Amino acid sequence: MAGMVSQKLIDLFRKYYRENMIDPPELISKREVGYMTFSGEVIRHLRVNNKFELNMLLRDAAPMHVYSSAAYYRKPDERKMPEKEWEGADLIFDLDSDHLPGAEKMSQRNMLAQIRDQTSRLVSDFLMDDFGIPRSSIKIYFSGNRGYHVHVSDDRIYRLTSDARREITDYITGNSLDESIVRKAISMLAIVSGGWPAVIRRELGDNANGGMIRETEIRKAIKKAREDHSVLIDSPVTYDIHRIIRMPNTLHGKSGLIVREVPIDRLQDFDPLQECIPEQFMDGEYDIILPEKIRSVEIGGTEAPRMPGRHRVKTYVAVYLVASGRAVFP
Amino acid sequence: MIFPDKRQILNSDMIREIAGASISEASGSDLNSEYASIKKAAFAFVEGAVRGDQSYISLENRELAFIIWILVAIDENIITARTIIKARDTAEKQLIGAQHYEDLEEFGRRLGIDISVEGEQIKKDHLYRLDVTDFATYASRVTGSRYRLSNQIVRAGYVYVQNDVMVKILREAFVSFLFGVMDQIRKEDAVTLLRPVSDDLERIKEAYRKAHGSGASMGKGDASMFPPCINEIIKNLESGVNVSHMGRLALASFLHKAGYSEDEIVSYFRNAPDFDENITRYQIKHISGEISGTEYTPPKCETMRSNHLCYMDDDPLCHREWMKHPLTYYEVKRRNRKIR
Ligand code: SF4
Repeated sequence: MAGMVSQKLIDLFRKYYRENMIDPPELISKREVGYMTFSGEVIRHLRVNNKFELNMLLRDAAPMHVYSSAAYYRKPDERKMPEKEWEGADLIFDLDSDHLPGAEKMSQRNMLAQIRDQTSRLVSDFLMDDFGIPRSSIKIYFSGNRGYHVHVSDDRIYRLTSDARREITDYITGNSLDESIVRKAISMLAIVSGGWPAVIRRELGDNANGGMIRETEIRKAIKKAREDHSVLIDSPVTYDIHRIIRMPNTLHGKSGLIVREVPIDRLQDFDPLQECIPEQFMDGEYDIILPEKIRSVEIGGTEAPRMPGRHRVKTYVAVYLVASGRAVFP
Repeated sequence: MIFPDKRQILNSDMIREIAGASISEASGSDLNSEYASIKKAAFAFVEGAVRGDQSYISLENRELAFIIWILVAIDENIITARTIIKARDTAEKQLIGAQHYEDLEEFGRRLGIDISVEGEQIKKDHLYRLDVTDFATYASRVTGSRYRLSNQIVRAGYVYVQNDVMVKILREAFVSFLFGVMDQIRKEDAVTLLRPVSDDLERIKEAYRKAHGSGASMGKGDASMFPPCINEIIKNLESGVNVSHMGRLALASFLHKAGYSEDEIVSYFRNAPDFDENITRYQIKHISGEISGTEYTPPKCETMRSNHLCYMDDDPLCHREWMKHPLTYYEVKRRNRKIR
């Protein structure tokens, strides 16, 4: 089975691209576009000029994964980075529930709920409150499988260097916090309050009064603050200003789910396993074979079969199980 | 006190007059003698920087403007890097000594950085407020926990910092500013405008060549200080991978400039798939000027890049704005091993 590509799966993906007109990311002609075919071939450094060209490409290739760069280039189709002539880039955050501590033992539903909460904190506490990024510049997407992507398009961040973006990821993950410097900052909070010093000050509680804060106390407070307040982002995705990332509105090749935008105010009760199923996969049923027993999977409100053997299931369940490698078409 | 002023620096009429000013002229007007002393100070500054002189030389606006034109006309990366760093340090000292917060505000305004003051200035109980993106951009070039965003007070798009941090941010923004202005001056224009002082320009180039040019006096450093591009070429040669002509030229001239002897340079090429000792030696003699009479300088980063020879990846030093030449990388590393 390994390496064997199912033609049925490819056909279903093609059906999705044939029957939909995908909205490309803004300024698509300045972005590098790439994709991976179901046979594992990676095609990069493409330039797509408009919505029409993008859709022709997708219908033709019926790819497993589709990517575009966060960066804008003068010549996105040059093969060497320096020759593409970088003009700027969106600020991207990748939150993947696989990276949650103890993820192996969590249920799929629990994992998705936890990473959704982290995404929500990233957007409200860090991006909007601390960095003052307007809500209208922020877009959240379901990653198509196990997490969320946050895209910021804003004049203020467009030209930020990789190093500057690293400063930002460090901040969000609570890296580089230094006891003596934080202590100094805490003493300044009377003038303005905010950032990690304010969070750590809160963790200190009454201990912060009376001026002298003991070494061990501040160390404990920093540790606690990081646990409670930091957000688990995959930092290199943010500071690699040439990276290609999953293109919104395309299908994730390991789930058959849509990389769909989630309105910020809907994030709290968003259920990707209900709301990111393509219409094309709603009708009909398919036979699949489970080679071995699997952990429980719930998609589209249905519990997928778990026991080894042949099963008849809804199309989207079949796609999900086959794409994720849990099942095969007979 | 310098207040960076782009319009003034780009004012070619003023530059022409400074270049043409002469002290000896009997009929010298006030302005003429003023310009003559500006010219003298500017050259002294660049020469000091080239010599590696650590002493503090104060700097004023028009001197800085003239210095910028000198650098463009000379167009020698190491001279530029050294002079800019010296100008940076001078500005930093001035900012540290500034008596009024308005000076920092004004300095920032000239660089396009909006600064305001929060708290009571009289009691020295105040913080500077600046945009979080400006902070991230410039603080990322300064090492040390003191300058990390995580340790700052951040709120609603602004960072609030104390004086010492503000000064470092302005210092780095100043460097960006200087390189930005330099990019707007064409070398031909600078050479033409500075024709009256071409002797002085030659003198600086000569002083620089004496100090660093003849490989040997630069002293040989070890390979751990080589930039990524040079290491990559060496690695490829060692493993028998074919290296382009340009790549070989870059390596040989780099090693020569870094003070390596002909024999030592030859040894780097021994594993090349098509190694021929005689030809290699002949080529090295060419590069070193022994045959041709002119010494070959390794290509600058830009050229390396367009020839697919740059392997900067995420080497912090390569990402510095003033890093424009592999030899600069080497020299900076040699002077300060720990620099990022
Ligand atoms: S930036 Fe310059 S020194 Fe660094 S690897 Fe590229 S060419 Fe070499």
